[in-house]
Amino acid sequence: MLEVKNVTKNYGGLRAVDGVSFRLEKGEALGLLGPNAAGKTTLMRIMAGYLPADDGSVLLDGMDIAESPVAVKRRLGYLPEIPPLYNDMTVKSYLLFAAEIKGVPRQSRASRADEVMERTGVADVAGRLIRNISKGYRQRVGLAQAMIHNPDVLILDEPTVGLDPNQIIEIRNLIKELSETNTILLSSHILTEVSATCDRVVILNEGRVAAVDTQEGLARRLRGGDALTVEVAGAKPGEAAQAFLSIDGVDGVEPAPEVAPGSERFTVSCRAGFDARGPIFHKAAASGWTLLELSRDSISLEDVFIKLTADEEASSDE
Amino acid sequence: MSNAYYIFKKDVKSLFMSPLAYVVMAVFFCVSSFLLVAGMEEASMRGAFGLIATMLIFIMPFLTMRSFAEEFASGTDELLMTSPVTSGQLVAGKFMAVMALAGAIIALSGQYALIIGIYGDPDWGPALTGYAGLLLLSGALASLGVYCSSLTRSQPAAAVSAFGLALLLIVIRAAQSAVDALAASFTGSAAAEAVAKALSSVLETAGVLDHYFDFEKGVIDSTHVVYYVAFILLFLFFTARRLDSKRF
Repeated sequence: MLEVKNVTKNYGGLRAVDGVSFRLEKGEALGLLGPNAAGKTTLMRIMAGYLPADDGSVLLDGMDIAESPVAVKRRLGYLPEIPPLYNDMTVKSYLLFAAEIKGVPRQSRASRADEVMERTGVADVAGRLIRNISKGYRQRVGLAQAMIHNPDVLILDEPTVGLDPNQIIEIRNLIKELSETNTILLSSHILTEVSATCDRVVILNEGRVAAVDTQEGLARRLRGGDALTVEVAGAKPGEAAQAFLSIDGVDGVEPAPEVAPGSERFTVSCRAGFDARGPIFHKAAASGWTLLELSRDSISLEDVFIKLTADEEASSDE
Repeated sequence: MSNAYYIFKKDVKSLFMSPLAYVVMAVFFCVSSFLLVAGMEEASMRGAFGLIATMLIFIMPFLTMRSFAEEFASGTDELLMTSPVTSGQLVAGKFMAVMALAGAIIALSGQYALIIGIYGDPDWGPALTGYAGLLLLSGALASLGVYCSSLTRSQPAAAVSAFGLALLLIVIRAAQSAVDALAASFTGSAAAEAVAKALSSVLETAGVLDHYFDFEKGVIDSTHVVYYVAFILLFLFFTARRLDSKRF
C-alpha cells in the first residue's frame, strides 16, 4: 500500500537516510526500530511529506507524494515526535481545525472530533486549553489529530516517548486497537514497544535498513540459540559446568562474573528452540546443589544491533 | 480556497487572542494621537495619514513576525505541512490574517477623520483615497513581513529583518544620485551607461513609500496601484516558494 523506494536524505555532509526501501502492506502494523539518530524521524517526515527526499520516492498505492502531495496527504495521518499542538486552543477547537484543513466534510467534522476524542480518551478535557493539559493527554490529542480524517495510513513517530508506564500501556492498547482497522507505521527505539504492537519490523541503523522481518523471524535469526544465566552454590569447582555441559542440547557453558563467594555463575548457551531450564534444575537438584538463579537472557535492542551490524560487516567482508 | 480560509480563521483568532495585538494597537494609537494633536495645523487628514503610514512601518513587523516563525518554533508547521493544504493556500491565509489586524487598526484610525470632521470641514475625497493607500502600503509591508517570518524560527529575527528590509526599500532612492554620478563617468561605454541608466530608473520607482504619497493627495494613479499589487504578489510568491523548498 505504502512503498518507500530507495529514499535518501542528506543534511549537509551527513547522510541521514541512505537508500531505504520497504513496503507497508494494507492492514499491517509495521514497526520502525532503531537507536536514536538512526534516521527514523527523518524517514517518517519524508513519508509524511514534511521533508522532500534527495533521492528516491514514497508511493501510496502507486501515487508519488512528490507529484501529488495533496491527494496523498489526504490519506495519511501523521503524529510527529513532538505533537503539533496549538497551546492557545482548546482540545476540541484544535481537533475541529485539524478536521478542516485535513478535508473532513463540514457536516461530519463535529462528529469526527467527538469520535476521535472518545477513542483516544481525551473527551474529558475537550474544553481545556491545550497549554494546561498533561503530557499524556498532549500525546493523545496528537494521535487524535492524526486520526481525525480517518486516514488509510497512520505514521506515528515514537508515540509513547516521555509517557509514564500507565500511559504507555494505554497508548499501546489504542494503537493495537487501531491496527485492526488501519495500516500503521510506528517508530520506536524500544524493542518491546514494537513487539507489543507490530506484525513486522524494519530495523534502521545509521540510515540504512539493517533488517526487515516478522517478529518471529527476527527472533529466530537473532537467537540461533538461547542463553541462560545460572548461579549455583554448593558444587565443587568445575563440577557444575561439567554437569550442565553434559545435558543434551547445551552447546556451551561459560563462566560469568561471580556475585558472591561460594557460588558459581555461568552463561549457558543452548541449541535454538531448546529450553534447558528444566534439565538444569533437575541436574542441580539431583546433585544437591542450591540453584540461586536461573534466568533466560532476554534479547535486548543492543544485542539486535550488535548482531545485525556484525552480520553486515561479515557479509561485506566476503 | 476554503483551506486558506481555515488558516486565516485560525490565525485571526490567535492574533486577536494574544496580548501582542493589543499592545501594538495601544502603542499605535498613543503615539499617533499624541503626534497628531501636537502637530495639527489644519482640519485635513493629510497630516494624520503621514503619521499612520509612518507608524505602520514600525508596527507591521510585530504583526507579521509570528506568522510562520512561531509555527516553525513550536513544531505546528508539521501539522500544516503534512495536511492536504498547498503552500499558496497557507500563505494566502496567513497574509489575510495579518491584513485583518492591520485593517482593523487602520479602520480604528477612522476616529481621527471623525474628530477632524466634527471640528472642521475636511476634503473627503483625499480622505478616502488616503485610506486606500494605507491599505495597499500595509499590504506591501505585510507580505514583506510574512516572507521574513518564513525564513526563520525566531520571531525577533523575523521582525528585525522585516523592519530592516522595509527601511531599505523606503530609502532606496537615495542610491539613485550615486548611480547617476556613476553613469555620468561612463561616457565612454554606451552599454555601461545604459545599464546604469536602467538601474537608476529602477531605483527611482522602487521606493515602497514613494508610491503612497499620491494617495494622500487624493490622486489614484494606476502605476502606484500596480506597484503595490505586484509587490504584494511577489513577496507572497517568494514565501510560497520558500515553503515549497522545505517540503513538496
